[in-house]
Amino acid sequence: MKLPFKSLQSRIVFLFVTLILVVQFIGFMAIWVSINKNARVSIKEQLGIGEQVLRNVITRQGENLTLSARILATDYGFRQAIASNDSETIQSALENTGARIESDVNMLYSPEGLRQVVSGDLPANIMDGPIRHLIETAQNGGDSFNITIFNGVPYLLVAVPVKAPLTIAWIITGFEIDDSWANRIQDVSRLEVSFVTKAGPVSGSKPQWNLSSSTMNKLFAQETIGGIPSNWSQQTTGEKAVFSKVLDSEITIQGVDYGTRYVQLLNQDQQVLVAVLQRSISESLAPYLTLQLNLLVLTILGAFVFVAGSVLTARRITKPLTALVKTAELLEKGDYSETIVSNSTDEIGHLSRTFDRMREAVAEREQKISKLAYWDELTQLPNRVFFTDQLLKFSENYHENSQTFSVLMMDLDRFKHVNDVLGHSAADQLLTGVAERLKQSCKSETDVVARLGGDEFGIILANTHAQLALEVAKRLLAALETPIALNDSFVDLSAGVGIANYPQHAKDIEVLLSRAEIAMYAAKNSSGSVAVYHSGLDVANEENLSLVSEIKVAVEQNQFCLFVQPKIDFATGRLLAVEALVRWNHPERGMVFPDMFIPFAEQTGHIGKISYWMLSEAARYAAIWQSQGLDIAVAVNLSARDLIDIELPQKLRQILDEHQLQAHTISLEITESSIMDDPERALETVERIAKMGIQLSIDDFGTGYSSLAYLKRLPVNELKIDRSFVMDIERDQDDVTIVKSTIELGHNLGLKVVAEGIENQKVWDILKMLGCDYGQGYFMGKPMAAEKLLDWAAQWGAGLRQHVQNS
Amino acid sequence: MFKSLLALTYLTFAGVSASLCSLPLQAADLTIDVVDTTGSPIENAVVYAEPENKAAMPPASAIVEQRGKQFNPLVSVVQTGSDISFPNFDSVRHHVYSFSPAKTFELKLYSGVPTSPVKFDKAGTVVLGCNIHDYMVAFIHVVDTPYFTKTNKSGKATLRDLPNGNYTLKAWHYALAKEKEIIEKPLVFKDAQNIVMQLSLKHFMIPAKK
Repeated sequence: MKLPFKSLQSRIVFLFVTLILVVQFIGFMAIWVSINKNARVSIKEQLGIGEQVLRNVITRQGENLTLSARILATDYGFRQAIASNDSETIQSALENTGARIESDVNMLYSPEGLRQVVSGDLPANIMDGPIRHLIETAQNGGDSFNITIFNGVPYLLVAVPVKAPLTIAWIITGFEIDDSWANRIQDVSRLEVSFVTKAGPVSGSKPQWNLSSSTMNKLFAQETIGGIPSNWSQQTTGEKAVFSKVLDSEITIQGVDYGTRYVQLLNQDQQVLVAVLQRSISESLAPYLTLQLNLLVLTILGAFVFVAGSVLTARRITKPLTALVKTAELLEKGDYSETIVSNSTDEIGHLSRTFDRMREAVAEREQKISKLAYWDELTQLPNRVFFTDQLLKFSENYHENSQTFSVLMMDLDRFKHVNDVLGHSAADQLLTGVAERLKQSCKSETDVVARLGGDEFGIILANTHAQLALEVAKRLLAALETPIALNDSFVDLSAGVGIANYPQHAKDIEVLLSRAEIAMYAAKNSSGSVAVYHSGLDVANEENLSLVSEIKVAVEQNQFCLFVQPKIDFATGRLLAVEALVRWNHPERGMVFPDMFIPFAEQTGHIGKISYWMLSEAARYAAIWQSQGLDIAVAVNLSARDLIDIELPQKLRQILDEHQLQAHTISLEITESSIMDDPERALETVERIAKMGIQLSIDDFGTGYSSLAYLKRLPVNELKIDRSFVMDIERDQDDVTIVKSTIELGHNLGLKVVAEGIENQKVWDILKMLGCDYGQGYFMGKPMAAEKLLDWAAQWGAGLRQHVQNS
Repeated sequence: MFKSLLALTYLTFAGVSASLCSLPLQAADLTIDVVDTTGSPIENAVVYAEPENKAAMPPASAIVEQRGKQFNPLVSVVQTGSDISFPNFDSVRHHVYSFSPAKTFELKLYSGVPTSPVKFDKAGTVVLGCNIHDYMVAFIHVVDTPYFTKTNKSGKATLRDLPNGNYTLKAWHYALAKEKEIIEKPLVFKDAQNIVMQLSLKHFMIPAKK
């Protein structure tokens, strides 16, 4: 059965209530049927008793009549009066007796059946026939009383002989069967009593049923006539039919059902008398109806109790279920805090406890999983996902309480080198150490420190602004200044930090993050350590981005042009070589410096082509310059990618051959870090190149993780001291020391030493004094287009050289 | 007791016969059988012959006694002018009455023999009753002739020494179908002869003693 209920509770209640109502209804109906049946049986019994009462009354009245008539009949004086035919005396005696018993008929008949004396008001049409019949019956020893109908009115008559000592007369005395009879019978039997007659043809008209008396309203009583069987008025000749027939039926009068018993008291000589006994069924049912009503009240009360009981039961069942559903919904949302407490020992209690255990297990597992998802195991810091989530929450918070916040993005400098040189394990230790210091520095509970990946860390500073964030960033960087101990050695740390504020810099988390990153890269590029995002960075960044996409086009369309910077011998002031530098002659931006695009070219893999182009151009110019009598070497910078290209030596050979150049015409500059990416392959390449007779120099010496072990192994001819040590040499004694030591180191290893960034005479002099072999810088010559070199060389040869040397 | 009553009656008849004997007339016995319509004999039927010429005869007397709260005999027949005495042999008293037109009288509560007998001087039937005892009944048939008798149990009666002559023979019984009707038959009596008379009777119960 499909019930239109969604909840278990209403289903249980509905089922219970339906069951009780059905049971109650069946019981109710059964009792109703039984009561009806009983009422009818009881009515039938009452009708039977009523009939008995009726018969008794008739018999008793007959006996009363007989007795009083006998008393009169035996009176000597009365007999004497009869014998002397003294009618006056007889009449008064009859009247006297009649008055005594209140009889309605008092007559004297002769033994021959002749009416002789009459007393009282007799029916006008009283007939002798029935009386003679009565006398005859009495004479022959039959019933001494009989019922006779005169003019539709029934009479109970008795005939008593007057004997002297033979019968000399008959006393006929009788009662009219009237309302008093009906009332008397009703008094005893509590039944409605009616008498209905049908007398023989009086004046030729068809005999009709006639209601002679009744306890009921006469109009109502008339309706009982219809129930009399039609054959009850048929004459049964010669047969005495007193009390002969009885019929029970039910008739409705004025909407009231009556149990009815018809008793045929007379059917003789076309005279019929029927007594109708009636009992109202509804009246009989009345006491039962009270009972029924009580039962109904009990039924309703019972139903209510049942409803209440079933509701309670259903609640008992569904309440814990509802609680479970609620908890399950919370679980669905990821809230595992709601515990389920159930002390009941039934199945639902069991279910609740099992459910609660499940909740705990799921919570525990989810905690593990989310830890994995949101946690960086190495540094024991949250990861990028968590960081991003937190940012979202912070941004949501802002909408509620306007708390601004800052995002700090930090990237370690030279981490890659640590990783390469000291190995992954050491790098991991380094990261752990950094994480530890970051945590120490950001002790505020609301701050979030996360590892975003690799050597990149992110920090959210709650409720802060750019200036405050800047201070925190500086504090962080200060914390990193103390070297970190790794396997008994110490590593210096530095990092770039980018700061972006919410909502000042971005209202979108992604944008905010990217802007913090932009600021970070800006910080790193500008060799400062911290940068707060500003829109200018964005523009630069956008330029970068567009450059990345345009590099490819530049390579294809040969938008590059070769610049060179002279390399001068300190001792002689002669032009010995040039360093080849690339410039991007961008169609819209003009000249773009390599710093702007080489890193992207390295990242995008275009660096190989650029390097190849540089080598070709360098060779071409070298050949040109040779043909013009300028025999100088051209140095080309190679990137890490170039060094792992195993075809590089072959390509070099090709280029040299193409321009019919000797190997020493081309020299290559490599940085220490470019070897560190894949030292084995790089070393192999470098060795093969060296074997070809091509000169190699270490560029930017002193800035990277200089490994003397590698330096020892590398087949280089030259060291180039980084400009950062040279530029301030005239003011900074330390730089002097470093440069001096480096020159000594180089010389001791049999290498020439080159200094870059010489911007004035003083520096030139210091370096010369320190024994540096070659120099490069604005002081001698800025980078220039390759084709202008010849002019510069001519000038240099003409006077500049002197000027330098002499000053 | 019945026999003694009969004896008395015979004595009476004997007296009558003696007076007739002085006349030079032939006489003989007339026997009558009284039967009902089925031919069964009827007891206590009164049979009497009325001569054409009235014969003056001295009236006789008779007794109807009350014994055992019953009249005895049940049926008596007497000639007009006869005196009947009603001796009471019971310990209780009786109140003998008659409302019959032939003789209306009453003997109020008495015991023993009443002081004077009652004279029945009118022919007809007298029904006797007792006001104390409703069931007591007796019949006295008073006739105008000296020649009367009643039937015995076998329905036979004999008119002894009935002189020859013309008579009207009559019979009466208390249960005659038609009350007050007397059966008549003309009779020319010459010699002893036997006559059968048929009576139509109705059912008539003499009330039993209670």
